[in-house]
Amino acid sequence: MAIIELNNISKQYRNADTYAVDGVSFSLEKGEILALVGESGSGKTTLLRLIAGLEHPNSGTIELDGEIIVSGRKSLPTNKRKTGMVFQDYALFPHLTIFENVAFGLKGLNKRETEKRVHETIKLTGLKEDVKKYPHQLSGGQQQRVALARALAPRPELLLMDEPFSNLDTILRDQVREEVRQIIKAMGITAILVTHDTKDAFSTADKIAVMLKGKLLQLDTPDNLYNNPSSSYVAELFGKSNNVVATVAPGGFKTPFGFVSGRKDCPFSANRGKVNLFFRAEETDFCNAEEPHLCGMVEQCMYLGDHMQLKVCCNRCNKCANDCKGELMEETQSILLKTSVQTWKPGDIVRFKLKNFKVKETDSE
Amino acid sequence: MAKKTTYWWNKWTGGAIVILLLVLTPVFTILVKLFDKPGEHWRHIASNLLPSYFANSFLLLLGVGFFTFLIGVSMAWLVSVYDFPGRKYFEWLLILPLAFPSYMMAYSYVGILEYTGPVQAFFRNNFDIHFKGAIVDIMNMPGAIFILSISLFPYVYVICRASFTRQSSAMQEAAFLLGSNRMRMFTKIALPMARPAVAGGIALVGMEVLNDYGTVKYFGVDTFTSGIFRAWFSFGDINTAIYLSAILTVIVLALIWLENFQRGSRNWNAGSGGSRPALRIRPKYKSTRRLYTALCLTVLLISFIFPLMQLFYWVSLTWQNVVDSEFGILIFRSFSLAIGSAVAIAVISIFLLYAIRLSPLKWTKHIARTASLGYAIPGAVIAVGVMIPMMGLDRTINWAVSDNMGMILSGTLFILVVAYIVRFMAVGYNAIDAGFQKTGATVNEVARSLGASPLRTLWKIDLPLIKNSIAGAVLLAFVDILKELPLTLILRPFNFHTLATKAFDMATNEMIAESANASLVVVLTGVIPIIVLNNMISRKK
Repeated sequence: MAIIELNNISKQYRNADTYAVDGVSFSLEKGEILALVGESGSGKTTLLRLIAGLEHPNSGTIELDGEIIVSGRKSLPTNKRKTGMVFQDYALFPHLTIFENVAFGLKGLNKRETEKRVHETIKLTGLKEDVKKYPHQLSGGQQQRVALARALAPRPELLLMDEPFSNLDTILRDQVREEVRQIIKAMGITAILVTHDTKDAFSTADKIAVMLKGKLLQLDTPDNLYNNPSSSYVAELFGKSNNVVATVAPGGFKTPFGFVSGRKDCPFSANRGKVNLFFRAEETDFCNAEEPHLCGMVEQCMYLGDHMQLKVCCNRCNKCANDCKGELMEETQSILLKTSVQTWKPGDIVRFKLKNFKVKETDSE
Repeated sequence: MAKKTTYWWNKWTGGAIVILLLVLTPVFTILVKLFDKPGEHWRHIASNLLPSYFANSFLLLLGVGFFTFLIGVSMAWLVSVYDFPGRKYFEWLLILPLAFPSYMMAYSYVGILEYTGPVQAFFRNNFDIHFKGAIVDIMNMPGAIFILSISLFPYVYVICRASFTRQSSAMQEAAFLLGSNRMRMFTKIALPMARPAVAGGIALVGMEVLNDYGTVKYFGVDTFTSGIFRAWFSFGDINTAIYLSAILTVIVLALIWLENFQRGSRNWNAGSGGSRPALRIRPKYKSTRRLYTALCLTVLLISFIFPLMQLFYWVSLTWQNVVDSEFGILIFRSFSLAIGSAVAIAVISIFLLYAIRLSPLKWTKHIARTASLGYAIPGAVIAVGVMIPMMGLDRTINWAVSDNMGMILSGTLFILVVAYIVRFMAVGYNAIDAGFQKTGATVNEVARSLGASPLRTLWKIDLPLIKNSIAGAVLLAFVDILKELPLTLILRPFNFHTLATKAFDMATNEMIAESANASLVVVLTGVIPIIVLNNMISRKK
């Protein structure tokens, strides 16, 4: 059963020309974790605030646990919605202790129950600090845990998190990400988190929604998003990918880097003209001159620790032309290749073949 | 199932709308009356007095605007760019004239310069030089410009100093690298960047000038405000007073519009907010440093120390006759009235600002700002604007209970408190708004998302976090109300005095030395918030 359902939600801020959120619909099953991903200004935080009741949409309805909470001009006030929220800057109450912060949202419990619930929740988040301390006495990671505990203590039906990891340093971030997922899963809570970091999304979420300019581009499992992106924007967001313009030729595709032989199931017939070949930087193998291959010239090498990234271009030099047996096209293009650390230098000739690629019609975006 | 409500409506919004309407009633009343028939004395005033009201008010605005600009900007530039002996103290000492109401300053200077005053006595006793009458007659237009300028320049100084110190060192360095000297840097970079701030400060000065009654009355300079008083008290012609108020209101609104217009969307300082502040320069020559110290000291002496010493001198002569139990009651009444009104202002400001905070409609912020409009409108005008609806209400009440209860609203302290709230709302509003801005909206949002009602959130989260701002708001409003003269003169109940009206009353009745006792209490009380706020700011640094 869907715990939260958004129907055609749109929001336009006053004095803004465009919609911050534009006709977004989706639903989420109980216990799922959804990551809203997008660049800044894509409307993901606005969407979160709409769900929390901190903003009101221009149109659309929101249903929480089978009850319509937003429809037309009517809205359930924020404090009556059972949603917990973790803010980017944590927004801990600076004048209250950790205990008082976590206990703030608890209602209808007596003193003993309150204490029990607070300690239970704090323990769950793995915070090992004196609960009589004040927020300013804690480190960033600890504050994050308090913020999470505070949101979780009333046992909300839905947990909303706005860039929860962006204020943590890289090392802490990896650790906290994993823990947060475990905590949410252990409590069986449904959660929506907003992030601009795809790593956050991949490592915490069951489903990922990609937003661009207020629109929901794609909502899918991480696996599907990575392997079957619906647009080049989505593909680009989740890792370095290459989009090579090619012409359909008998038995395959002519590209600036050489000839790529098509697979048997390729739906493109010989007379369809130009297409895009889409492949990720890591979906290539280097090979020697004997095999059928593509080639190009290294333009730039970037050392990235565990691997190298090569920017390879095809500048139609004689070397390449001979190597690739004259199958070159007029256009100049560059692609990115991922390689284990080797001694590449600009000017080298690279021979490679595609392990995997997708054929797409030239997309309009 | 919990109840859904219309998204923008809650009790807070409703309350805020009611408060806003009440606060704006005086202004509306006045503006509506502009289309009414003027009173019986209007023709006489319009043909004989109005031209001089216009000319005098305009001349006063121009003169005071020019001199406050000159003193304010130069002092601000000195203390924010150069380092010289005493700079640290002059920084806040130069704000002190704000504690000195201009009419009290006027009495002091008349005393300083008169025959029995210290200056003449000094020349007479040491050099046997005799003057006829006052050394310089300041009871005229130039005198009024002088008094108002030295008591109001801190408005320009404070705003301008803030602007200068916010300008980043990177920008100054860039200007120097491009070959500018300090003078060119000032005229081409610093001053143009501070222009919106300077204009804002001068606009404030302008509003204070139009508000002033005590000084111009004492010096016999007829302005719009004195015109309103004349129509009201001498001619007993309320309608003419209203008509003059309406014209003055239109002038003030034009002034506000002009200030907003010149500012446009400029916000030149914001961009460099985070960068390190400009380094102060220590002038190479000792004589230059001494000159700067002397300049600041001269301004401070003229604008604060000399008139204060005169007050002390007068008090030493007369306190035995003046300070008695009645004087104690006067202080007590004056203080309680001011504190009560200041607290009311704080409570109303919190209510309005919290309603905005809860509202999902962003533009409510701009509407609520109009609540602070009263600060721009001269006290005499507000008095008239509050008086009319109150008298109407009194009549309605008397008719409703069919009993002559008299002026139960317009003849009591109630009307005075209402008028103070309308006039000084901005003081509390801005201070508390700053507090809310500093805490940010997220703590409030997170508390509500945790299920706390808006009221509980306000009580448990917002109020504890802004308690310093609330204290500041009450303090500032308190001091402003204590100094208030024109509005109080018009609306005070029969035979009721505040320190301000008592000082005015005595001074205009040839008891200028005696009036110093009340003045001194007001000035010394006014100094407190300046010291407190300065400490708060320097602690933050």
